[in-house]
Amino acid sequence: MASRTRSEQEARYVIFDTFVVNDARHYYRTVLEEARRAASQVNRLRAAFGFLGGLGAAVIGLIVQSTPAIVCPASGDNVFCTASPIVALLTASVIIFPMLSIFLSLLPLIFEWDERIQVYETALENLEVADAVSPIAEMKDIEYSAAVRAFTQGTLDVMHDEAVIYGDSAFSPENIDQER
Amino acid sequence: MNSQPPETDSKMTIQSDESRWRLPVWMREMPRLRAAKEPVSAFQLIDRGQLRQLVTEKNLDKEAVTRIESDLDFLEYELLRLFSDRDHKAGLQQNRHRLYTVQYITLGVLAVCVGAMIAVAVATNPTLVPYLAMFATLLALLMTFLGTISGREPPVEQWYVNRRRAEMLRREYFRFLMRLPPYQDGDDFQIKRTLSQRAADINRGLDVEGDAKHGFTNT
Repeated sequence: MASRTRSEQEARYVIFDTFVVNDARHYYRTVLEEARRAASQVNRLRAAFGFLGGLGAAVIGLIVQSTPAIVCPASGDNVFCTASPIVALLTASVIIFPMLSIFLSLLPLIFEWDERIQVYETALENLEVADAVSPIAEMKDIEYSAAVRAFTQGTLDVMHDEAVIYGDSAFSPENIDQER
Repeated sequence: MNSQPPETDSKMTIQSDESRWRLPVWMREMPRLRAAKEPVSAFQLIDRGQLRQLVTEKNLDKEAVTRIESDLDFLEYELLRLFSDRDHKAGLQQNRHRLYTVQYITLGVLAVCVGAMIAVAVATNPTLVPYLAMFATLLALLMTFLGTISGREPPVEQWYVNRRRAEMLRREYFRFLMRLPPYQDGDDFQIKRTLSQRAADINRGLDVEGDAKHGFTNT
């Protein structure tokens, strides 16, 4: 039969706590930290490239407006006809930097850093809630058994809720009705 | 700067990528052009070496640990191979989805860039315009090519399906190990048979955790 002794329950609890709860906690924290850093790095780069593109455009405008040397001869078409290499370089930067900024601004749509931060922050908080009902050595056998079950089920529920980003339902219809 | 990659011994994911640890975090997540074709062999959700270390440290009951190890052996044979396969497929499809998306974005950005260059070239150096237009056409052709090859087996759907099943298998692994319902009562062979059936059901897309009975199809 599958009846288990107190020592076996304790052993299973210790293994679960070490290999699941602590591992999940470590994983959630790592994901959170990496998502925050990645989002921050991309955001800064995006802002920097946008800034450089705008700056390039402003400098071109300034050069064109303030430098008498850049005046098109009669045969020329426009201001770029006598453009110096600096103006050519700035022109390229006005095209390239905003494009890089656009590229970077689309990355969060692929990697979903903000969504991940939200999901794993909630998971981490809920993990602590599950941890709060963890068994205590002084408990009697029945209470200990119930506490192990509540703790384990709570942790698995957190792992289930974390998977909602892949389309799992966080609530069953019954629970949705209760929420209403 | 550290000379060693950070320790990543978490069992929450099989996929680890230590070759990119020197890159900025956002670059580490960029998709790979060639992903591993086979799942990681001999993957364990609970490392046996660490388990033995824990048993010694915490002075756990030897007889109980023997029974737990027997459970782990059964789980490895019956469930872990399914989990490993699903996790691997999820990783492949995730990489495929990200690769296509990054390629689309790159081509789109390049197309806008070439468009801007054409506008400048028309005014400054019209001889460049045909070449730039040719390049823009090439980009449009590449986008069509990408659209054609990415339409087969939509990667997002495959990624989500495989990931969902992998995560459900992972939870079932610990549900069995901790003898939560439906594994709390009965003979050992009955419990093991229940696990085999539920693992097979999860693997084929049935929601054994309860939603299915309310009408959800969780495939």
